[in-house]
Amino acid sequence: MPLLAVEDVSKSFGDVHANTDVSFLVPAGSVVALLGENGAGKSTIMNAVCGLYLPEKGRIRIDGAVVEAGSPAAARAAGIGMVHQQFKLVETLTAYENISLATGHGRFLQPSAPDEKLRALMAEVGFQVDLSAPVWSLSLAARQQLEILRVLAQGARLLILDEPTSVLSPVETEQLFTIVRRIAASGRSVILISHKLAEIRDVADRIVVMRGGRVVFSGENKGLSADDIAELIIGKRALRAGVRPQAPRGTRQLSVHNVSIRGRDGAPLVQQVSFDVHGGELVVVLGVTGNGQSELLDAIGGLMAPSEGAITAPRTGRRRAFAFIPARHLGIGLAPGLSLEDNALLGPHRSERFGAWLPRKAVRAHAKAVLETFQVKARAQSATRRLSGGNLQRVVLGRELSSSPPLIVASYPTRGLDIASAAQIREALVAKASAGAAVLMASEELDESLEIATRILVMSSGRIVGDLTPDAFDMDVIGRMMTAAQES
Amino acid sequence: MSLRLRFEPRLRSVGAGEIALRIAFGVVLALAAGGLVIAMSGHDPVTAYQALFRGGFGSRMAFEGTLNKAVPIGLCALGIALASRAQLTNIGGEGQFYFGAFTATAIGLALPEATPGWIAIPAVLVAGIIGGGFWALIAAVPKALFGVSEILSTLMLNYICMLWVGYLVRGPWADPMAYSFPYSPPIIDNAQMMPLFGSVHGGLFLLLAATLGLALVDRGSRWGYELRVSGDAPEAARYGGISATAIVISALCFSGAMAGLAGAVELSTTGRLQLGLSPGYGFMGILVAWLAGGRAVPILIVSIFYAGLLNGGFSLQVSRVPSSISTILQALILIFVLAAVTLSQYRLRIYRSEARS
Repeated sequence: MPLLAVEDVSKSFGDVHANTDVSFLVPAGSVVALLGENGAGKSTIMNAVCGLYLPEKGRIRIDGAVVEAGSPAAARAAGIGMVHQQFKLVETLTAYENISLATGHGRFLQPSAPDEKLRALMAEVGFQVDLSAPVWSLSLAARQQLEILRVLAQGARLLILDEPTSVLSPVETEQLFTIVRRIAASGRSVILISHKLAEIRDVADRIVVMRGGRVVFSGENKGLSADDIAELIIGKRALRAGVRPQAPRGTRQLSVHNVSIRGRDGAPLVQQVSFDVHGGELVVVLGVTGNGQSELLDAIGGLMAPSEGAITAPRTGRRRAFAFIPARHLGIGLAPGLSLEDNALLGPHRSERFGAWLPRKAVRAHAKAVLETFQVKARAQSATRRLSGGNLQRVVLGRELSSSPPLIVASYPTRGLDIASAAQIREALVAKASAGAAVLMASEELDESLEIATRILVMSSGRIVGDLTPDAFDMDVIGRMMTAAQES
Repeated sequence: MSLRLRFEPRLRSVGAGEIALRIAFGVVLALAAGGLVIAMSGHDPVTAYQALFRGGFGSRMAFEGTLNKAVPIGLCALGIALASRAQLTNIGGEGQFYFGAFTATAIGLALPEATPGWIAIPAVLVAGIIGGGFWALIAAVPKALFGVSEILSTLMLNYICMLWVGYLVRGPWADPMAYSFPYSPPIIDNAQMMPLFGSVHGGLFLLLAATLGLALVDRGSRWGYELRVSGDAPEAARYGGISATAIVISALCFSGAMAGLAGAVELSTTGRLQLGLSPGYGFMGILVAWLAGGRAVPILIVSIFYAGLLNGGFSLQVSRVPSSISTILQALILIFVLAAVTLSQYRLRIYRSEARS
């Protein structure tokens, strides 16, 4: 008997059918990869399994017994536990206190030290978390382990991990997968939700592929090639490989001179970085997450001030006159509580097209143009916070590219996106560079960078350790540069 | 099998008509609960409600009085709603009202007796606007520069301003002709607003203009847009090139200016600065702004309704029902209407479930 059986689950939100007759099985002791594009219905079905959503139709069974639908408590009692993409930890409490909150021991006083059971669990699965440390002092990888430990300590036998590798470096990802394998070896099952095919194929026993709210494949991982899976995920659509921009080198649009950035605690995040970006160039800042790339791009975009050095970029007065796509959309690139129409206006509302009065007609037309640039299928009046990650990215890009800016600075524009969306965005950036714009983007994906960059800057420990042109692109060399300084 | 009830959030927002229906239902429930309280205090609810209605809306004179009272309440509420666009909570309406009344008095006393009305009245009103804005600025600057909570600073400034006015009317500005009443001398005659039709004075037009102003700010002004963005996501505002400092200062100052204008209107119609100038208009404005969901036209309607309750409260005493019944009713209506509006974002869903054995 399978540990989890999802039977004919359907869930819709208004007119949108997020899940239609979704069925699949998760055998005990297995690792199942749940794959699909943004908006394929992966998160919806997992939220239904966890009891966060009440499906219109269908059943969730654990060991053959039906779990009460739409009740997180019932799902938890049945042994279902989920680690969400955004961690749900109390940062001011210690790691152990976060676990004891969830397990709920102690009637009046919370126990302050872990018991034997928890220690045994940690040893069994191979966790390395300092339980006495406050959560805010832990790295993202440690927080993730803590989340997993917490779910297991609650007695979960089915562990669901939503995009677990999106915050991890390659080394940390490998550690996570070791833990995942050990959890499966103990007889528990793990569902991994992911976009990253290569990683998932190494660790998963079975694969479930969703497309358009339906399950299109469910079966053994063995015998499938990466191309097979990619085709299942995106369906019969042509995937065009990106091409490098072909344009003569134009004028200098961005100059970064001796820039250093310090964190709030004074730790150096970026050290003595200098480079220029010219029109027609597509420069990729490549590196393992957390080596200063995002801080560097935030400083260029004006979200933080460098502690030393100078950044010269197109400005009108004190305002940025170039496109900047921040790494985080909700809250920085977009105001979550406002409509898409309002968000399409953020930034352009100060351009000469609009005065102190924003005529409704012009606002509508502008929003329509922004949403159409990357085919966002949502009404202009709908609340921004309900959009999927891919659509959020398309709105920000559509808006930032709407004014044909001379310089485009994009912080991880393809992170967390499915294959087709990422390709679409890469193509747009290449097209802009070919048309003469200067493009600077941060990336953590080697393949992507090698495919489209006219120049790669490799960052490690806050310094630029490699400045390469296409004739010198070599996967092994760049891979070593990315990790070199970390090892030393 | 078991039956369960539960509240689920609605995905669609409820239409305006449906909300109005729910609010009406809330008011009816509040009146019913209020009737119960009146009956428990040994009075006849029907008589009390009749008296309340008569005093608020029952006659032409009563209605005109209600409209006059709606002016300061509505102006304060519009100001509070304006600040709330940027997620700023201005509870200093009362202080800003009195400071506006104080600056208006200063001008009204200083102008030469022969100043024509078309100069004197605008001068007094503008003085009130500037005064109210200035009093809010004292809270706005620390908020903008250091993040000091405007909730606490505006609240505390209320007490400072009331003590200041109390000092003035008992000390330097005490009217020697008013015996020992704590009044200032009257401002010049030409600075006093006279009734325009019936007993309704020109303040009503100021309220209508301010309502229209807030509606326009919301509808399509760049400033209103920037207020909303910085209220919703300050970091997104910064990213979009909006200065948080400018937004905080401008939003709070305009908010205070509205309360200051209310103070100037009241001063100009009563003629003297005194501590009883406001029975708490600044605080009522908070309730009215909340009840109206912060929107301009509903604020106008609710402030008239609220002024009616206030006005009717006085005639309750004539029917020997304690006027505190009116205060209890105000509170009940607030609670029931807020509950109705909040619950309208949910639907009650009954469903059956197969319990897990």
